[in-house]
Amino acid sequence: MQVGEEVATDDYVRPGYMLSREANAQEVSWSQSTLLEPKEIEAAFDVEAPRHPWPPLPHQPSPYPATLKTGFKIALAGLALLLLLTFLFSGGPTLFRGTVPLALDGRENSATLGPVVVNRPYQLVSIRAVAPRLENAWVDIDYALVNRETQESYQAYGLAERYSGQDSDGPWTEGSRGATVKLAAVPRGTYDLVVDYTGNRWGTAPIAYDTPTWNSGGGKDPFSGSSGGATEDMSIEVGQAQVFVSNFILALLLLFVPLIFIFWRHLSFEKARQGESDTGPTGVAAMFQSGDDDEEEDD
Amino acid sequence: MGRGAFLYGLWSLGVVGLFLGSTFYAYSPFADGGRVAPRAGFYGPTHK
Repeated sequence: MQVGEEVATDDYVRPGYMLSREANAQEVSWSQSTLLEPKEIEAAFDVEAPRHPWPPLPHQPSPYPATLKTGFKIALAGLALLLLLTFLFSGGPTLFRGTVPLALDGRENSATLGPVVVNRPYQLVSIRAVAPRLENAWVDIDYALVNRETQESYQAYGLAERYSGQDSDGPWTEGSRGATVKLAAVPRGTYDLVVDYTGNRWGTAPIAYDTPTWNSGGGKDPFSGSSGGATEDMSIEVGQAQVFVSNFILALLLLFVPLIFIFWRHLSFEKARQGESDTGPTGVAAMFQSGDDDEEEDD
Repeated sequence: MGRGAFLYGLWSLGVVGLFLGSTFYAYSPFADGGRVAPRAGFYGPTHK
């Protein structure tokens, strides 16, 4: 090797190692280098070695895969625990089932149902109302679950609405004849369910259920001959559970978002590490290569 | 186990613990209870 001598060089890397080729007209020499830890460099040469050089060295291993691998196992264990808890605490017997008369006349009605007995220290109480023949109408429902002993009240609002019609694309329907609300953390006790509800028709739509023969299979048009004022029953069912699906989804997000963040850091590291490669990215950097990266390579 | 994995383990433990606590107290930030105000404004289909 002499001053001013020119050689053609190639470096082949894998994290932790580099194989270098230097060639001129007289000879070809190969050398293998092993990446040292900054502490080893400082101890050997008494210089300050950069801890986190950026962009990373071509053969610098990403610090994230070990964390990702262990983190993924932890996340799977957490997911299994969440599923087990959800399975163990989901569902339960119905606490109350009843019906109230419903008229689509725009007038508010009130009914007191019960008793609803909550046995657990704290209970998720779900209330489902279904008006099976609701059509082009809606029902506003205000619930108040009132503790008979303390008069403490837990309130919620539900809305069942169902519409249908026909346009240039054909028949359409919208909404649901049922509405479910969920009350959180209802303490143990005996409750009355006070239901204030108002049935309304949409626009000038006729009442679907005011013809007695409609449900008898007689083939009569349910919208014919409407005069309003008749009633049907709206069923009210009070159920119990302990787990909110929204809580489960939130826990899943909280569990996996850090892993996604670590993976993104790993991806950024690998893209930067392979940024000067003549052969293009490999591994995870190649899997998530963006269109911009492709254009840069073409240039 | 590295520092990152250890911290993530602690985080996961906290998440599962919170889920367990919310399950015991049947609590959810997304529960319907307390929403006493009826829906204001437009009733009817949004079909176009």
